[in-house]
Amino acid sequence: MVETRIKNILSKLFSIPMETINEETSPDNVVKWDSVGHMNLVVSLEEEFNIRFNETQIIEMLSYPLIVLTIKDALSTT
Amino acid sequence: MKTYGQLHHTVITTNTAELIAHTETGRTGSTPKSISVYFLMNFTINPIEPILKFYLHESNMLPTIRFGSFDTVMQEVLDDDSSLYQQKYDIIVCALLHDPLDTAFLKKLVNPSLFISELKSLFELIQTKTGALLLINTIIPPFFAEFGISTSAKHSRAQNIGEINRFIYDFVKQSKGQCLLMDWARYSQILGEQNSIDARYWYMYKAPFKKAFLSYYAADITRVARALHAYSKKCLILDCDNTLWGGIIGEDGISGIKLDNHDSPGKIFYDFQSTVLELVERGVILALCSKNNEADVWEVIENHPHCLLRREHIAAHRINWQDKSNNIIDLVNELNIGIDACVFIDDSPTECELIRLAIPQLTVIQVPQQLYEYPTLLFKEGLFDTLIINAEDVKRNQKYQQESQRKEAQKHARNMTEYLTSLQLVATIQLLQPNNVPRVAQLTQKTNQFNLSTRRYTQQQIELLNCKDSAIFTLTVSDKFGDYGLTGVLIIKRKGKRGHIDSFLMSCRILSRHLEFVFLEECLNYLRARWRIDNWEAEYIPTEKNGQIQDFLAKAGFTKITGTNYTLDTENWCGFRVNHIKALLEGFEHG
Repeated sequence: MVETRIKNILSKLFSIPMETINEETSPDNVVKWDSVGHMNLVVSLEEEFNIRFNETQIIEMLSYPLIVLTIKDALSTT
Repeated sequence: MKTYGQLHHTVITTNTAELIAHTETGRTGSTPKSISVYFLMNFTINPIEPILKFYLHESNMLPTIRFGSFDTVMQEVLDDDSSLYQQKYDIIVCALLHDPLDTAFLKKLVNPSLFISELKSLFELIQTKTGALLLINTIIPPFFAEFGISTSAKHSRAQNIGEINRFIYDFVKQSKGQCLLMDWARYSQILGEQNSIDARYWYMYKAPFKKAFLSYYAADITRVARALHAYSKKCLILDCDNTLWGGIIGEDGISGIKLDNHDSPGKIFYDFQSTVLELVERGVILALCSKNNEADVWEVIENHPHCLLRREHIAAHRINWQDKSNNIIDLVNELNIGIDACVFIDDSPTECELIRLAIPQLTVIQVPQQLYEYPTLLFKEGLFDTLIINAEDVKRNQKYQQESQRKEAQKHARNMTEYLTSLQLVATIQLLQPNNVPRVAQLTQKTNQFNLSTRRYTQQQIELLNCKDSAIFTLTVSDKFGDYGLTGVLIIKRKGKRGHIDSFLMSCRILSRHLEFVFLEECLNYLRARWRIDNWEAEYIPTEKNGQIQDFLAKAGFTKITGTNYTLDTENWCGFRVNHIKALLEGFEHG
């Protein structure tokens, strides 16, 4: 499932347990989610789902729910 | 132990998140060696960290990796208090990226010799002040020819970059082993633009390199680390049939085997022997391990006209019909070297697999299926690196630097001032202009590190804040290299007879130049006159990310009252006396 794969990546990247990831999860409450962390996140998601985001999507993917939306949107158009 | 080719393959086929999680736990073999690496950088090279950790863990090393501040390389080197000097680093990587379209870089290309002397001063200063091995990179030639076919006739970027790269090669050569080359030009040549650069990340984060490129860079840094700890390979053990020549000597006879300096496939084995010979001449120990009659093998080695490797090149041999693993262990004992310093090459996949299982510390390479890749294989793997200097030399240099550094203290202050003055910094300070509102809001949302109170505002909120009893100032910076844009915001509210600093933040790319003091000084002086106020309050609200600014208020003359609150009395204030920055105040009379 898409949500599980996304949570797995967030968990591995930012050293947070998968169960704690929810609607609120964003750079504001995740210590390792800084600008370098965000870059690594985008790269990992592109590798995992074999998609390529545009600049707008990259800037706007700033919370767990937004990531889910963006990826589902990207997958439905490929 | 795995080859660099295998490690590279793992890096590019493993998801980045997995790689990061895997390297967090630092799994190495037994008794790993420590290695410390510091990156001086003028762009975002941080994504290399998990890849470099992976290579170093696989090399049985436990790394400490630190990144300097973004794009303040010269200041960092000049400043004795910078994190560069907080511990003795084994390796200092000076990662300098130059954008072929950037106007600042273009100005340097107009006169490459001036730029070259700047680089020379920087490298020499780093070497003088630290005893570490210094790794410097070549500049990647542009992926375009701006003059079209006239590029060769005119003075193009490619030519100028060629000149700078020639300087870099020469500098490395004359450094007698203290300085080593990270040949970015070669990585990009091998990988091509598509596999080296991601333009999106360059423009968004100043982080242009793709994983494959970072992997090559990390591999070279690892080669240095291995050589420093004498982990490089020292010995090459070779099978004979279909390894040193095509065919089987016992069946084909000396005239039937393929070994020839003109015709394929004999030429391939001839070229392979040629690379082995180069390695032997550089000091690599060569041994043979083959299932054959000894006499048959020596017949080729001693008598074949196109056999480059002769008896005198071979330090030891086990040519018999016994098990190869035992033979290899025997050889290693005879030569009195570690098994992990050896590389074994054989054409048989079964032999290779058996030996890998039997002797895991041995690096085993199978002759490639695509035979034409065979001759360059050992050069590409780069397993036999040696350094001219060794770890003891480095430690000795570091101790020497420690003593001379104290004597350098006076000189440093002058050097720093000279350097900052040479930048020709101009700080343009304005009250909030309508067209700057989006950028100001964005800065309040994005800036984490040099930010006193981390208050986030939307564009609407900024517009609302901009009223009679508060002032929003912006800082725009430029220097002799170009324009940094709007990179500072100061929001002050009037509260009766006091001024309250609501927000003070600056982009990290303009730090270490004392701009924060000039910005604060001009704005406070303006408001002192307009509001007739001399009492100021500010808060430093600590977060996970803004440790960098914790001393700023104290340095600016504020007194700490309680917890997060500071005050400043400017009644007889003379400001900060920063001389190397020209402050331009625009539109202040309108307010």
